[in-house]
Amino acid sequence: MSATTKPSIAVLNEPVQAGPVFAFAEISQTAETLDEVDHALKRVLNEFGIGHFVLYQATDRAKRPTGARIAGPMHKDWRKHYVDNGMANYDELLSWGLHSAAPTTWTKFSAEHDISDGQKLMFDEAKCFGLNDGFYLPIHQADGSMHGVSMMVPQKLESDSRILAALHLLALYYSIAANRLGLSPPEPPSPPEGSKGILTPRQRQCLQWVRAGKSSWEIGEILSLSEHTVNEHLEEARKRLKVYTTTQAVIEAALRGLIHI
Amino acid sequence: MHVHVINTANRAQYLDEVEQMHRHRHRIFAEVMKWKALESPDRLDIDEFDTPNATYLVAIDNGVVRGSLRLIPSWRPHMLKTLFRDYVEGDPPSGPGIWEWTRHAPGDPSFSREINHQVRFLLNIAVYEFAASRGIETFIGIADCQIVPRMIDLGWKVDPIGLPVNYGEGVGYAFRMHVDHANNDRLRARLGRDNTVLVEMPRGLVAEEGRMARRAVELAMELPARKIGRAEEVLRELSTVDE
Repeated sequence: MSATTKPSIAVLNEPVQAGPVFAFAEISQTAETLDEVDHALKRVLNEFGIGHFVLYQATDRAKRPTGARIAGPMHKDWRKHYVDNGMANYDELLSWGLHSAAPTTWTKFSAEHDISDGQKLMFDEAKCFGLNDGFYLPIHQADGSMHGVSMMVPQKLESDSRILAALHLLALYYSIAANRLGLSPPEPPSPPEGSKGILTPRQRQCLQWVRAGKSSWEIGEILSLSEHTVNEHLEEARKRLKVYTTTQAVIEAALRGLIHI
Repeated sequence: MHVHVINTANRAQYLDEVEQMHRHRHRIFAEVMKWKALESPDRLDIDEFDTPNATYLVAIDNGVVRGSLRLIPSWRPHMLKTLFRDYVEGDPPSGPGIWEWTRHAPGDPSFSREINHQVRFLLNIAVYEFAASRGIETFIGIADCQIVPRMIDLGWKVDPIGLPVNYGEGVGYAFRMHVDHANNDRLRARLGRDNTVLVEMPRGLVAEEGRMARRAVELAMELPARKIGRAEEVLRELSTVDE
């Protein structure tokens, strides 16, 4: 699908067939790479009319995102809007999920909580993108890290509906696959003695993602930063490593043990 | 700590432990997990599936019950078939080699981390040993969505056979798991235990001799290979003592 055409989203009506979800659960447990799982996910997203899918991973104590997977036909448009407007800062689902393990939807969340104007605005703006409701599932791991899975859809999500149950299972099994296969790349190593303080953790993280072949825009998506901020981190890293190009910076940082080869 | 097979054949040898198990289940499900439907004034969790058809695997540590689970053959009445038929898409799997796994209660938040770690692994290893002894190829049951990542971490492949359903205190779904004995080797390696964990006492022993025999079996199972010669000597001496 080309990035310039705005895709129309299919709406899945009840009753939902469970077969494709069970098939996805199978692939998520047997696939050898996360790319394979992503491929299967793409098929299911189309089938279920899910416009936007995000899994983010938070491993540090402050629960800042350290990795993410983003998919769905609407993901570029909506994600750009979300990041450009700094919506992560007032997305109350994210902070709520830190202390909850239950799935919720925008409809349910709005009914149960006194949501802020910023949050209302976010839900309203999503509607302009044809995304009228969202599903959110926080998943807390035994080691204290967490996954947050968000899926946005064109129809209202009724509680106890089969589509909601299907989304829950999809989110759960994608998280299981991400756990088993890992969201690449790994966190940068802790810097060797004597090299501490050359680069900030964020600069090393950005370089590590460049090493994994991601563009500044994509890194911004993954780390919930703007493309501009990512470029600033990379520029500062080049200065500190006394090199001219980002490629040189990646090589220099790897040689000094600041990122993984 | 060993895991004991308790069923209708040898139950008379474990009356105290069976009561402890029902009390522990009430503690875990009604008090810790706060499942309202299981609250009982006698603080024992006993339901209509605790019948002579059920086999329990119970982790017992010097007479103290540390955890348990319940297994029921799929050709007998069980929860998925009788109570939660709607949780399954199509017909629930049934037939020889298929057993239902329910009331999984490993450890207790009030036990030490080390004990809970042991119990969690021992119960799973015991399930593989029991499956091998009965030719079980598939387990079915209902899992809470929050527990599934832990089951997968323990090496099970958890295949959904129904969509998640709200059950009041959480969301769960019906599953099917194939028994892959290679995973038992991995679990043993992770726990650092290479001997048998499962004890199954024969039918027919009465309470007191049953307790003695169990102790003897557990001791023999813990005996390192290099001490077996010495143990044989002791046994020979014992058998020559005048009665």
